[in-house]
Amino acid sequence: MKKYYFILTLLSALCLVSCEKVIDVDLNTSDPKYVIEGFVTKGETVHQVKITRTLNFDESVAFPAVDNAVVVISDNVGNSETLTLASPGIYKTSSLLGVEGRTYTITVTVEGKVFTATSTLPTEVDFNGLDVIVFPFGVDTLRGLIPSRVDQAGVANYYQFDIFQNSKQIFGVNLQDDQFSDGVQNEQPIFGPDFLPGDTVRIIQYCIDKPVYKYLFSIAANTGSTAAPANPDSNFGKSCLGYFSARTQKEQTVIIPQ
Amino acid sequence: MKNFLILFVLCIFSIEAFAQNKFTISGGIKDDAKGEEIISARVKVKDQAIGTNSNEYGFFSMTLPEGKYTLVVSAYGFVTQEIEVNLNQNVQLSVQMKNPVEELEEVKVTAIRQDANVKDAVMGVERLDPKELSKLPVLLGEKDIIKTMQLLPGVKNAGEGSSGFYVRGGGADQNLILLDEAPVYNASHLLGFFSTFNSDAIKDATLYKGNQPANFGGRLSSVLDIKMNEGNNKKFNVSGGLGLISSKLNVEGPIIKDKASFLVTGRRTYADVFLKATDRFKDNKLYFYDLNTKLNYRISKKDRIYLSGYFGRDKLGFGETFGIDWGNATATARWNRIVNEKLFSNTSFIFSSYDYKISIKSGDVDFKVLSKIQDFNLKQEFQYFLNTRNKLRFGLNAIHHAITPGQVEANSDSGFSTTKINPLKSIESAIYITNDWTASEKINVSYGARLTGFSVLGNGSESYTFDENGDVATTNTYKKNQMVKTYLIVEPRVSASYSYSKTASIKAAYARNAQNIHLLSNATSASPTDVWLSTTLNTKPEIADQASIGWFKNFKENAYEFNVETYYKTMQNQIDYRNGANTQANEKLEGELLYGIGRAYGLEMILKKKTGKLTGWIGYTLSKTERKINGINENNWYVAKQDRTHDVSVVGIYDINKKLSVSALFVFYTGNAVTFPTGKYEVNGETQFSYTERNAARMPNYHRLDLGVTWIRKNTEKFESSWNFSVYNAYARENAYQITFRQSESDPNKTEAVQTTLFRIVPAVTWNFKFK
Repeated sequence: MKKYYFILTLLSALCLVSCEKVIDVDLNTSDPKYVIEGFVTKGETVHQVKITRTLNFDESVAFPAVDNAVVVISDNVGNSETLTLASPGIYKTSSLLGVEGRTYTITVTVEGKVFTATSTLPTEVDFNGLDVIVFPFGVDTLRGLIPSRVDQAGVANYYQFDIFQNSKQIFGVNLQDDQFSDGVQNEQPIFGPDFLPGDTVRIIQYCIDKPVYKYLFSIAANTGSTAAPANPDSNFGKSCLGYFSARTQKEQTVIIPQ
Repeated sequence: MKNFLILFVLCIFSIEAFAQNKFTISGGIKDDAKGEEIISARVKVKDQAIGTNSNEYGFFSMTLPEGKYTLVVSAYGFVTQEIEVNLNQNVQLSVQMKNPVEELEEVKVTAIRQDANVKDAVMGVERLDPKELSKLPVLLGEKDIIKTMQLLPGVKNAGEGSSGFYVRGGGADQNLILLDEAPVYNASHLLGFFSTFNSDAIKDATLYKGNQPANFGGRLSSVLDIKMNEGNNKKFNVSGGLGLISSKLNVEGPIIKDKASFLVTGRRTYADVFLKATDRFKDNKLYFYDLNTKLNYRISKKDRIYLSGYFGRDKLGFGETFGIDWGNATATARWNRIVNEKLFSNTSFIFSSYDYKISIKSGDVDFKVLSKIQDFNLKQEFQYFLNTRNKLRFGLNAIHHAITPGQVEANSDSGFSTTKINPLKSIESAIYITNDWTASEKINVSYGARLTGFSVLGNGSESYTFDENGDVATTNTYKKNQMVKTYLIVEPRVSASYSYSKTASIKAAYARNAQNIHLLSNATSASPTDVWLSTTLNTKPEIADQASIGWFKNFKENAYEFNVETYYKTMQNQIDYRNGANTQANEKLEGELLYGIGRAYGLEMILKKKTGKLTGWIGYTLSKTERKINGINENNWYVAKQDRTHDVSVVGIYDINKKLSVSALFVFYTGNAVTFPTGKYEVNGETQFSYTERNAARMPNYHRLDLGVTWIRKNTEKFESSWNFSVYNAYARENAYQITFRQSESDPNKTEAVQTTLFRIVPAVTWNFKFK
């Protein structure tokens, strides 16, 4: 057995197990593009749109805010509101109500260019709690959270989550759908990097429409090692980056037990 | 087609106009020591340019005018024999080829027909003998025929240490890999680091780079035709090897001497043994094994039966919680019959399957994803040795495919509903005819055609057609086994050589190939969970047309061989995924696909030294491979991921003496075409990257040197023992396996590129033994 240990140590020492290092890569640059991120939330009247610009890979500054845009959001029953600039790059509504089943259209006019997108606010699937599950994983223990909900039968539902562990947001795109669980009690867990006993975890569930789901799915796929990453297909089309999502929103909080 | 037939008939019969009294010499050529048939042994009339080769079952047939002849029989690694024949009636021969005993005989051994590369009509062919390659250094000491093949011009590996390969710009799925005629769908183990071919079980491997004769079909880019050893029918023997990561054992021997023999070869890796030694990973599984078996029985002088089987499996898992395992199983039953001295028949029944299974189990959740491809295949082939100038091969082939692209099985507590996707069923049939025609002493032509029919069968489930956005356009349900649609494709193949001198020739070839089984791959490297899809109403057959010309020249009495080939290939109905495609267990998977065209062209050169103390080759490839797919890269041409501008390999083996030899291998190639970000932006509070053109960037150039030493410690009548030492990546070059981009942890405004290197220096040692 000693011999095996020796070989194992030898192999690791020789970097048989992969190793990583930060390198310099000479990347091509591209013309700056607008990035629009807009939301309409069910039951709310204040909706936010953020407009920024892209940077080249090697630029180490904050993303530049765009303050000179005209932003209008309208719905399919005749309501419309022009947003006002609340802070650099952030535009807000004050009276437009988010209602299930309505289709919202955003129009952004900036420096002679017009960008539009539409999104339909889906039917809300109630999010009524968080169950903690414990997964033995080798000698480690993984803790996952199962958002408790009964999926709506006969309709394709798409869910997005924001996760906050002890008030700190955990980034990354978290999505679920009902491809294999149409109309049933949800059992799909969400795994954070390290949920530990005693942690307070707050999860926001958004019900989103299919184009937004596909957009976020592509964003998530690009962070893995896909053969050919590409800009996700956005509901704005190819003229700018970002997306526009009409969605429902509900949150639940849990303290991870021992 | 009609003109083609007329030409065919003319070529065959015009030469026969002045027929005189003729007789046929036929028979088998065997290895005297092991009783195994010898493939492609040369039978030649002394001092005349008339000759033939033994076929894949060691059979040859030659028809000559009445008279006395001296036949010269030669084969690689055997002593050349001369046989006197008095031809006044049909003659049957059984030729026993001997291994060289004394060093003196080496001269005779090498005096085989080493000008085959010049004279044969076919081009773009590489034949590998596993014996020749046993001295080359390899990763972790695991000999691998596919990795050696990757060192030849026109063949590219699918990444560091990978046993996947690309031929002349084709995809990984466009290679038809045959093991004793059975297609092997996933030829790799351990996520691609090892091939499924245990080199101890292999007798012969031939690679056709797109200009394959008409008896092969079904894939666009290449055919890798691998034949297993048959088993020694004279003597029982056991051999094996102990390596760093795997051990092998090979047992073979006669069941009835000279009539029936068997072979069993097994291999298992033990990476998990190391894991068990650690506390942290002791419950983890990571290993593969494979088993090759073969039986053959000579029922009569004219009939022979072969049964061969392969079974291999990979297992990877973390305790009971998560597991993935995958593997191939193939079985071939063949019946050879010498119908008469000119007609040879082979009937094969072939089973081939590949499947993977992912299972997740925790608490009351039990969840499985299954995927499977299964073929039943019937082949009938005749080889008709018409005369010394014409050798015909014709036959038919029918395959029943059943593909289950990914099915979810879950228990009721899991919160997942079981989706039953009925397998996609289809029948792929083909008829073909091909002729090897020696038009004159200087001109050889191989020509033929294959007619492929692909019938999509109904499976009783809903089948969809899709609009350009990938949404369902129409839904139909076809009854089980109802013929839904049949695609017919004619595939003409022709290649010709003109030997303008004794040691040089010019060759040209054209071939069309069709493919109806497609692999959908999304990741950088092939994954065992990649989905296979057959041609349907949406996905049309892939078609490739390849034209090539080449110059072939031998120097110094065939000691050196120099070949240059160029090719141009176009491809239709190439497939790729849409952005953000859902690839798993998706019954509307074809809605996630995009279709387009491809083109590839290149120049391949190889200089080989085949005899003497130093042997080896230098290969160079200059090539370009592009795709144009609607919906990708603004519908413009882009370079494919397998595009590699320059590719150089240098291979050398030096025999210091009979017991000791050293070897070295150097490769250099242009980095793969990849898509790197051209900008960054913020969405969801996180930095994202923006991209412009697809595959417009390059990975850093790759180069590596491997060294090896083979030392035969003992070689007696009864026992042989040898050691093999190797160092992979001897100068510790940090080649980039992958480059990823991320937001810097220290400064969120900063982004950085991270390079992953897989192998720095990897030494290995293997001990091989043989009880004779």
